[in-house]
Amino acid sequence: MTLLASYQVCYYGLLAERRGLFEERLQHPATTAAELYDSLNAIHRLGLAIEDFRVAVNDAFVPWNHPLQDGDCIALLPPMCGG
Amino acid sequence: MPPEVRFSLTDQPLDTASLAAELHDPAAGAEVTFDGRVRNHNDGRAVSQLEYQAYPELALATGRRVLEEEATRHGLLRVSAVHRTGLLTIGDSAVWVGAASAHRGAAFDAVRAIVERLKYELPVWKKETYCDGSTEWVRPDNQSPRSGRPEADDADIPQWQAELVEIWISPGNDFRGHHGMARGDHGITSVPEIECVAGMGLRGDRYFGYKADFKGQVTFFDAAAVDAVRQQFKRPDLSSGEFRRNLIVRGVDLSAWVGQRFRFQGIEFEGSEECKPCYWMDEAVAPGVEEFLKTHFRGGLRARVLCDGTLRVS
Repeated sequence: MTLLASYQVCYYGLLAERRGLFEERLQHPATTAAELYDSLNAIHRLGLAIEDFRVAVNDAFVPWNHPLQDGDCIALLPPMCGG
Repeated sequence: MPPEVRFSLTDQPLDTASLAAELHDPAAGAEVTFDGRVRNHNDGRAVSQLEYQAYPELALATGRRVLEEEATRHGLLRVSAVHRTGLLTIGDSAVWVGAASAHRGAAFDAVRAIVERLKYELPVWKKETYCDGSTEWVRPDNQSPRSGRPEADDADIPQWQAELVEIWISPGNDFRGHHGMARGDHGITSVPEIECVAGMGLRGDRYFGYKADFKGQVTFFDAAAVDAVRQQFKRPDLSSGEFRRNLIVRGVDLSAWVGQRFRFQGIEFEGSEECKPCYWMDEAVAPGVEEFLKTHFRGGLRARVLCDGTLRVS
């Protein structure tokens, strides 16, 4: 039996609106940020392609192939618009 | 003395007079401030209010990093910026940036570059509410700066049928400003695609927003010149990044485009001048390379970016 990692996922802007919440904690088999988003996108129809936005893990920008560890906080950051 | 850098987020109205007063410095001959406000329309629609959502931990770190980088690059004495969060109405200040420097040029250039960077790099999101009650999360790309030049018909501007072999960007200058010292060591990175911003350059490159109307916002370099150096100096494995030019192209005579406008992958550029090689080339590549690149326009073409878009390696 495989133990699933526990992740906290934070949504912002458009993605928070589409998901209907700002954060959730979940057990998931994904090992990279891209795998996790693909799965969430399939379930919740979030609708953005990973080429079009960025991800942060534990408050730092990372590439989508960043390996995840149990307990990580993954923030999904749709196109930003300051100013 | 390191520059004094302040960046913050707030859900309260901005006190721009106090912020400006904090820029005062006896060594500063120039203070430039920018006050970005909520306007009553966007993209042809009447706007009633705005909401900014932020990722505070990452926004504070990112904002501070942008200010530190631009303060160093432009040699500022003081720089400060604040971004609003929460609900704003028409006329409210949404972002404020101020810079103090010994001379005016640095402060003007730094403030412009900071505003452009915060727009894209700060993890902040903007939701507009329109007068008809509908809402929309705004993307930065419908508000990219324009160069202010008159639009020309596409048909008037020749299109390059060239191959884009490689794209190189670097976060800092290794040669410029290093006369009499060791060269810099910022590295240079090959990327598959790059965003071009009108009047600014390549996003992420050292010359992005370097100064107003800068002639070298982007540099083109002929892949044939790379081949020639590899052969002449017996360096078959020499990376085309060693020349520290941005765009390695094949299939276009760069010497024909000084003072000319052209399109490449749909993006409009204007050739400004030959990119003359400097003595650093002898150190960076091999003795004699500077002289070699001085002939046949091998040093490449410096150009300005006239419209926004993304270039991709062919």
